[in-house]
Amino acid sequence: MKNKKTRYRILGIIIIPLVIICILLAILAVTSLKSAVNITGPAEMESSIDDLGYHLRSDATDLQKTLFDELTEALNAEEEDEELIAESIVKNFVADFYTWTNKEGQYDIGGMDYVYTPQKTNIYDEARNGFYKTFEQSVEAYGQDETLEIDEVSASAVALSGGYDLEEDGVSVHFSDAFTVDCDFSYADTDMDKSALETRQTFIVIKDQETGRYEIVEALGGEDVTQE
Amino acid sequence: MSRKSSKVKTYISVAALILTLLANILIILVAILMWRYSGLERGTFLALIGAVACILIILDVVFIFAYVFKDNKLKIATLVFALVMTLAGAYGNYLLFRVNNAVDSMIQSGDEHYETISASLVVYDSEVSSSSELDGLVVGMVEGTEASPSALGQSKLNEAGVSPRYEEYGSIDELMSALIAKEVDAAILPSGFRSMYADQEGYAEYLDSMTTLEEWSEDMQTGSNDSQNIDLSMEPFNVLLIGYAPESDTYGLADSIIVASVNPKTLTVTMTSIPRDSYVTIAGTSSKQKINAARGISRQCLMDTVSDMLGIEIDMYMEVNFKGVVEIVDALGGIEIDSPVAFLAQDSSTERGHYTVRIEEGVQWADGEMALAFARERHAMPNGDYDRELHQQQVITQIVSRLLELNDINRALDALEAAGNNLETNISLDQLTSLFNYLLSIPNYTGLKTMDLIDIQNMRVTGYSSYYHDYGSGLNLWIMIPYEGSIAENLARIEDTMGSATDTQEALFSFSAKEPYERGVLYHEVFDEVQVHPEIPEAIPDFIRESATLADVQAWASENDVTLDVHYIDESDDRYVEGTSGLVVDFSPSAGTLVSEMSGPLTVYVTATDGEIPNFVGQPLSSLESWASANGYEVSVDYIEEGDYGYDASRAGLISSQNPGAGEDSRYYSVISVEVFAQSSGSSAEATGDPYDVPGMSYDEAVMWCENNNRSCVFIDSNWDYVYSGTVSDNWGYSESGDGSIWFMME
Repeated sequence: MKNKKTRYRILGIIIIPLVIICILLAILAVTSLKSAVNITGPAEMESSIDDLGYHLRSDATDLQKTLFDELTEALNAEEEDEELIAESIVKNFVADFYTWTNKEGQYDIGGMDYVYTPQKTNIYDEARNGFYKTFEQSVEAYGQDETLEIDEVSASAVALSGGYDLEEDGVSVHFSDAFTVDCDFSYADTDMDKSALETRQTFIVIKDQETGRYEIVEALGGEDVTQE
Repeated sequence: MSRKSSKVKTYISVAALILTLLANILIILVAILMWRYSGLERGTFLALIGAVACILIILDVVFIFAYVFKDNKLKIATLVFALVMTLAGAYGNYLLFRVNNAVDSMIQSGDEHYETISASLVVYDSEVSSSSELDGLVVGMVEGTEASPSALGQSKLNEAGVSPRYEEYGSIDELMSALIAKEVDAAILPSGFRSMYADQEGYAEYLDSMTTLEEWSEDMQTGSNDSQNIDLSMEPFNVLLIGYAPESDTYGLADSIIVASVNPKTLTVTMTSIPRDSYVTIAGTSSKQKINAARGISRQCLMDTVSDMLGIEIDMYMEVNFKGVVEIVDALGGIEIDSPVAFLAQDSSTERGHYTVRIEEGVQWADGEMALAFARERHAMPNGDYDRELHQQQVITQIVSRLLELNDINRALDALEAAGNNLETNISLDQLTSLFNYLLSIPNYTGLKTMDLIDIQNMRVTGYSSYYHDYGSGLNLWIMIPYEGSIAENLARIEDTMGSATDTQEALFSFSAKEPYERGVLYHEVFDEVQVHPEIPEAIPDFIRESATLADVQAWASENDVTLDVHYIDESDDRYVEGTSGLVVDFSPSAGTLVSEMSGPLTVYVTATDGEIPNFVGQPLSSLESWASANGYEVSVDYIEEGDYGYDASRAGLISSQNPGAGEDSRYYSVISVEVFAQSSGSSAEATGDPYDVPGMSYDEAVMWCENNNRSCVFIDSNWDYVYSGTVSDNWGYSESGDGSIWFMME
């Protein structure tokens, strides 16, 4: 009996750690596989305002981190300052979209969290075939660290009287809370030739009452624009 | 301990021993077989192997304890545990067997590129019934490479001890022409040759008269697999996507030809469709031909031809038969398609007449049969072949999208097996896993699906319609000649994708939700360039088929400088067909005869027009006389002599004007009066006064001689019937009747 007990004890000492290792490895395998096939999920984020779908990428620049904190603060404030939030949305968009130094490739278009969701794919395609078209050639010419990075941005929002109207699939959509936001920004001093780039732009931001999201519906040139 | 109890314990011990050994073998085998796919997700694989190793160690430790200490409880535990592990190992091996089978069927690995070459030995309308009868006869083949149907056929005939004389031709088209024209006794053709000409109007009768004496099929080396060194996750590459419908068990032609140019760094894919009727120079031959014929020679030939056509390197291929599309899409659970119209289509069955697939207009979920029907349909589409090419690209894109979203192991296995049965590629497993890993690992900060990050650009090569003359059949066969501008446009787009283009940086990014971005069509349908058409020798059209009137024939004859010999017929003629008033009912020489080969006039038989006076202006007097005779009218002739106002020597013998005019109601007239340009003084028909000069003259010349010599002439044939055309016979000469009229025999 004593020998049997000892035998089982020894067996247990050998087997139990093996079982634990086995379970851990199995969990690791499943987790690894899940994350590998979870291709519709987002990349690793530094932080998120999950209920509104705004995210800060894990390799965000210092400016982007600061601006995201400002947005988080503005959204969490007791009294919602819509104009302040609209300004913050635009600043976050500009800081992410016009910065190339932390992008994975031509397909990694910044600022997509802040654009009008129903047309995100269209806007993405437009950016891909427009402003971002020269991404790869610029990286090749200058090195990614010497391409584009926003180092300063300021914005000023004014409520758009009459709101903003849009037609989607033949249905008229009206956003009563809409803002015109003038934005000035500057690029960090890098080797890339930025002489032809503009540094001021006007945006129109709407608030979707159903989701609570603020989204950019128009990004125009540097001049002021009033809705027709 | 009873004997029975002792026996049971022995059985348990033995069983546990056997099962433990088996479990170890099977599990280790699974690990070894799985190593082939470890590149897919290395971390997962290693963790999995580690977990399984732990389980095996536990089994083995329990086994050792059970046997060293002769512990029956542990032996039973070992038996149960080993049984479970054995079953798991067996199932794992079964799954891997299926996967490996599919992968090995699909992927052509190794340094050399092999493919199945098929050839047919064909005769046309011949008494030759076996290849052995071709000794000393002429066998035609297409010039080409060492690995081609020609080379295969030649080698097989040599093996059989048959020694014909071989004649090389620059293209399959030329060889077919030679076969029909009986310049060769037999031809070595790609096995899919019937498909090449099946939709050419008028060619079916020639195909029906062709007999296949032999069919051969063999794996031959057609190139090298240098492309397997390309890192698909880092370097841009071109893949040729080929879709075909196999005829019975042999390879058919390329129904669908698409070049996918992929840049993994920018996630850009340009899909360039090449119409299968594109008239290009086939690689390894000297003549032009429809590009899908290149696949009939070999897959490598098609890759080389596309490469030459676009001026790019084709690194890899992926070839799928249409049945495979059905199986793959069904395995994936279907795909989304967007059809511009609703239509009913043929299913994937090779038998015609199975119109059981219904596609609705708009976006819809499609199963395999629907997806295939959508990719193949052109007749119902507003833009025919053009829409079909874009829809093929749409189906491919959707299949890739579904593959990337796959997280069901059963669907993945089914899709893999479907691919293994119907798809072939020279992309290696390492390259596929590397590319797959890369796509799965792309960090996505946009919130869009990975498939949305891939910029797919749809392009196609456009061209203009033309024809080339097939001298063997006499038919003009339709082709599409690519615009040079289109080739350049597509090449520029491919180079842009591959990263060799330079663009100008935009100053700012602007957009508006009121004007959603839509990338327009990236290619031009038409180019303003000189269209060069193959020379088509003029041939006699099929006037009967075209329901041609005399006016139509006259217009054609005038354009082609052909002399007409018109005969009007009525109900008494054997050729008469009711309801053909004013139409051509017979003519000679036959349709398809080259104008250059005509030795005499074009003789046409026209049913006399009921009710209207035809137009005789510009026609020989004989035409009017023939019609008048058939319809019971008299003819009154005035000649415009040389020297008269308005005389035109170049129109000598032709009618200048008529009264009543063309179109007048024939019921109100009994006499047709005409003015005819007399023969000029230099004419051979000028009166010599001697009737012996008339034999050999044409009818009109003879009439002119009679007029000029104030002789009454009668023209008859061998049946002693009056005739108004032909040539005065040299053999009979003439005879003079008692009333002074001269009778001439006509031929």
